[in-house]
Amino acid sequence: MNLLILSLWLVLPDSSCVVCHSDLAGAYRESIHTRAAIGCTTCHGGVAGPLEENLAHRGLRKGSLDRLQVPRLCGGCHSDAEKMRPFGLPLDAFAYYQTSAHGRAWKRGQRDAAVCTDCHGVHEILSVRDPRSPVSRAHLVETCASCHADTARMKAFHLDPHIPQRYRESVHFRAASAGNTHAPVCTDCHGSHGAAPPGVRDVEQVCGRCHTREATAFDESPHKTAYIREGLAPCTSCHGEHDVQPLTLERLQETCTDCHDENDRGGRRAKELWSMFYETLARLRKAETLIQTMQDRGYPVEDLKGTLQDAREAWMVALPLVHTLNTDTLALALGQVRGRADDVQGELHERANRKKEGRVLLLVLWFYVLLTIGVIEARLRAEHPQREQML
Amino acid sequence: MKAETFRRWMGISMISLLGFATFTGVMLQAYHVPTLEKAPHAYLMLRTRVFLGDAMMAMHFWSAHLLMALAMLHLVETVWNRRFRAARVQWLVGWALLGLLVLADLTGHLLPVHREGYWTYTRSMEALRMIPGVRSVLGLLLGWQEGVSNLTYVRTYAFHVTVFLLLFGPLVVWHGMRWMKERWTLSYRRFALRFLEIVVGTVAILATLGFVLPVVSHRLEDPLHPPAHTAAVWALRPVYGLSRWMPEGVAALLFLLTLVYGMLLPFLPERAAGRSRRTMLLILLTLLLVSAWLGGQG
Repeated sequence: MNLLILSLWLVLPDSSCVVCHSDLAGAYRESIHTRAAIGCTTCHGGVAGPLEENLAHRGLRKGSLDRLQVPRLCGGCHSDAEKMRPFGLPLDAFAYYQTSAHGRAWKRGQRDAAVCTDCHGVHEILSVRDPRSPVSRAHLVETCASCHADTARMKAFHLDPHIPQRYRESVHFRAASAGNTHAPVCTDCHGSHGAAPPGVRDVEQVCGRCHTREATAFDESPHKTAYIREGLAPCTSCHGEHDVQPLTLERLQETCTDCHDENDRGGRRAKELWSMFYETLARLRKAETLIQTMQDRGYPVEDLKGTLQDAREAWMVALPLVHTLNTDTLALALGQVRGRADDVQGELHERANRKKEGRVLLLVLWFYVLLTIGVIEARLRAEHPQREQML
Repeated sequence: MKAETFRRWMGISMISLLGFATFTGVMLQAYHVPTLEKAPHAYLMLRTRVFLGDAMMAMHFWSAHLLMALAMLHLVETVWNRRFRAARVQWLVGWALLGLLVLADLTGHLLPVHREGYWTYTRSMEALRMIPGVRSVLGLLLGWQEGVSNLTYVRTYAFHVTVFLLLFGPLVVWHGMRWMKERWTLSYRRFALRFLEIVVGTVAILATLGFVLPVVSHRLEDPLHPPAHTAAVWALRPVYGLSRWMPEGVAALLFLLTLVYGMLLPFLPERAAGRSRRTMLLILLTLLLVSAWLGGQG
């Protein structure tokens, strides 16, 4: 143990502190601050070097840093252009923090308000790009949930503690769990240092940052003005907030009738859209099934897999256009899907027919073969019945 | 069925299969593009766009496989009945024909550049290079260095469609004529009729296989979905099975020694050749089957 402390003393900045505070040495050694040669005294004060307590603790900030001192202390360096330049870090973290829900609570002096160390850690602060960091994309949801799923803590802020759980039921979380690094986590919608829930009018902008085609299509839709007029949040009204789900064909009509009557203009349009998608999807699925069946039977289908992939891509292009609610636009886009799916089906049917024709030819061939063999056998037996024993 | 009739049936079947493989091969040649990049597309086009192309490909495939199976059956039957001692030169020519057949089969596997064929060819070439002296021969004949280059592909194609056929022709004629000279019991007319009977029967069987059964395992390489396991074609599996038991170099050497022993079998004294040859053959066949099973496992 002494050897470890001695070796840390040689490599850590302000390493004299770890001689006594050896319990912090391990965590601090891994920290990004260690790599940047930022020692204990930068945050805690005191004097680096002397091993006598009285000398080392001269000018020490008393006790552990108070939670409410943390943002200003961190912000002191992280807003300083000179200090941050070598690391290429943004200077607006503290400014943003003060605009956030966290920062506003901190300003009010609420001790439960999240401060820098709640998310980034204390002595073991790691780079955000380090996958072990609590603020890396892989761990961010857990980090946010450590407070936002805490019923007692959320009660003070009148927040729902089930939000993290609802997020875990969303399509976003499923994608992230499946290894999609582009799948959104909490900060993608709420921001990181400036974390705040997007307002009703901002939802479309926030979702549209990733779902650009959906957002563009929505701008063309009659829903746009209606939502603004009624003060509704555009995307979340149909897809949900944290438990965001895609609107599947099964749920499309049901969701539309939440607001529309089945027989009003909106209800009829919903039915129309549903049948357009349903018919196209049925053809696409049929082409997929057929191609798989034919492959299993040993038909060459490699060339058609490309066409099927084109159909799938056209489907992905057509899907966002449902937000326009424009049947003409959608008919054009879905026509591309249907066209390609029909090409696949047509070609496969043609191949199967060719195979059938081949089998008819085969029957004809067998007829002539058997006839030939029969004639030969008859002649051989007629000529030399006794010599057939030899064969 | 008497043994001589069985042999006659087998010989004529093999000749008709060889003829049919040549005929379908010539047909396929009309659409094949012998470059490494274009061959897979040509193969796919042949199977999907050309009238009877898929059936023609399947018939070529099945005739090659049936030919290999019959050749092996013929070898086993010859050893089983100890006929090699009476016809030593025939035995050597038979070995040469079998060797040519294996090489034609191997080179044919590369041509469509599909997954199993490419793997089989590459692994076989690597194993063959372990045999002393073969490395330089392969380098000289096929331009083989570390993998299949365009030069290797074109030369493999040339060997498959020309060189082997040119060698096959005189050897098959010699093998058949010699047999006819020694074992001839039929009039030419009767023989011709029997020949015709077997040829049309073989054509019908091949056409049935071609139209009904697909060309098995011929899938183009898909880099996004690599197979969990690739096995060699059935005829080469015993060699791969052996290479799992022992280092590849030892397996190749053992293979070479078995080949030499087999070729020299009629020239060895009776004692050296072993008295209970049938028991030996049964053991060898069992070992081959076990090795083949092992060679096909994942």
